[in-house]
Amino acid sequence: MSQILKLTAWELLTAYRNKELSPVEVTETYLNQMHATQHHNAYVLPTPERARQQAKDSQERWMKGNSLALDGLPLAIKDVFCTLGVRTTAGSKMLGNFIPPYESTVTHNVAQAGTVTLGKVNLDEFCMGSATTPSFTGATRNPWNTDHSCGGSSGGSAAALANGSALLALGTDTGGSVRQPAAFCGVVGVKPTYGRCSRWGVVAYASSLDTPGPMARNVRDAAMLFQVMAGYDAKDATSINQPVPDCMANIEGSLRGKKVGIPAQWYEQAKIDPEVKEVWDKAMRAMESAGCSLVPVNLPSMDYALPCYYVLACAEAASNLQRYDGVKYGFRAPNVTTLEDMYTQTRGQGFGDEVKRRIMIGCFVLSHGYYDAYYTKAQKVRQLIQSEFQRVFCDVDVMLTPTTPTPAFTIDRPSQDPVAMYWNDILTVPVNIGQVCAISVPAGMTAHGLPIGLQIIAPALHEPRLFQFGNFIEQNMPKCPLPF
Amino acid sequence: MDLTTGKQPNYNRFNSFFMGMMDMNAHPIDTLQRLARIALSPQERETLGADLNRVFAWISELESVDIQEASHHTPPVMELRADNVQQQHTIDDVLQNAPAQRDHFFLVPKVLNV
Repeated sequence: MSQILKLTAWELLTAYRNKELSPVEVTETYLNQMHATQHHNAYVLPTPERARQQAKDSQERWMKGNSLALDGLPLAIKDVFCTLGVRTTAGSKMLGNFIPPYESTVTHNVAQAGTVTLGKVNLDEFCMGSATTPSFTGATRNPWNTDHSCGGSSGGSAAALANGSALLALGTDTGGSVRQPAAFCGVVGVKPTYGRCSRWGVVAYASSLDTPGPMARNVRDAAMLFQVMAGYDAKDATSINQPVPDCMANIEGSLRGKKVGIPAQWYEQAKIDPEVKEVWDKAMRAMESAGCSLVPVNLPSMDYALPCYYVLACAEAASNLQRYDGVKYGFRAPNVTTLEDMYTQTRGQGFGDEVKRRIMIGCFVLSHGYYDAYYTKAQKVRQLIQSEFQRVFCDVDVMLTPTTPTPAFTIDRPSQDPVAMYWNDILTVPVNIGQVCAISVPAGMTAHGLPIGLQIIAPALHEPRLFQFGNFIEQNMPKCPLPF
Repeated sequence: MDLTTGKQPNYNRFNSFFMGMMDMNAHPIDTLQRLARIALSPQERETLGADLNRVFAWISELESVDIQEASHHTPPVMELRADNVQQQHTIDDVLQNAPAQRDHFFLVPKVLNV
């Protein structure tokens, strides 16, 4: 195994600067690793020629002394970001042949920073799911144990980082889709504040919740990627027009005197796996030893975050996915004779089961007579949860929780009950509903060798705290050396 | 009315929902698939119907939330960009992904019966 794959972003940039390594050499090493790990099915579209060209361009910049912030660093892109001239499927048969005529803002930003795109990686269809098992592109395997799920929906991004076939990756997080796969695969995943990273050019699922986020193998690399992904974008009406904070400046800062909230009802939640709870306890003790005080906090409406999320996300999905009608782009069912037939057959054949389920839930909650009972009610519950987060963050700097109630489940887990499956997101969804930000950091392993992730939650716009506390966990909790 | 069988009135709320829809005689899953414009196979009707029953019962938990203390929703202020015409794409760019096209138009099955 090449030692090049073990280097962090910071170490690679130093090696480029000192002319010990070149982007061309590093890119070839990563492309070889991508080939060697094909059985994990992380990449749905490798783009080796594009990567080689970008690496060559990067090498020239390094030689001329005008290198960029992330020049020559290998990157995987979740196949939900539109990439100019490069197929973008969102994991769906519906977009199986879609070649975007434009580039998303986030992928544009990272390309402007000099990254080398290795390819597009797998996801749950239209980001709807937490296992990365879409029927169209096949399941992605967890590199730690291929019988287990890599999580989702940004499962391809997490698996590519964990199997050494990417150094950095882009994900999107609507209800935990960056943090949960990061926890399952032993890597770092960040859900920034909604609006920090532009949604322009990201295939829409639930527009009021969709948040692009960085994924990496360590906290510092994730911070570097966040720094170039984020920023105001006039093309996204919900983009935050405020300067992006410097997340590197205080990353090593002391935690002495900081207050860490522990949500009481989650701590007492019987459904949290004992090994996960043990890691959580250990992190609390480490933070106390570092001079933090632990504060039990109460968020009474948090138990309703999950049903609230499914009402809002499905309603928005039903509306957003109306555009897939077989007329303008994407799949059209063959042998249809009427317009109505074309719509229904195209959508019936083009969407997978989970997408159909969520569109139909959305149609129900938005229908006449039930809109107020479900959609309006869920909007008010969202307000309630947001105020509870605001109240709690008057007393604490961050909150500490596990990222998921259990380690990675097995890939063949029968999904007979969608509600049981949705429960997997119970610790991540409140962050999206509450409009705050969070990071998942690997913090330990189970006896069976699966990673366990912890989540730091900070108030909106306070991403530097995520990286500071995340770095503390990384430095003070057992390491999860990646399986490659 | 149960979405799978169309017989058992499991949840009154959903029962009344479907009774209130335009076509009183339609099977409930048909009503939803018509709203969603999604054609389902007989097997999908059965499995999706059962799934949706479980989900609808679950999201009904929201009914018990006391929202008296929820503040009035003030949507965030969105910045509008200047309303200037910009050349972003050509017609050919836009049509390149169309499943069927002719003479710079999207082609669809015949709509008017003339």
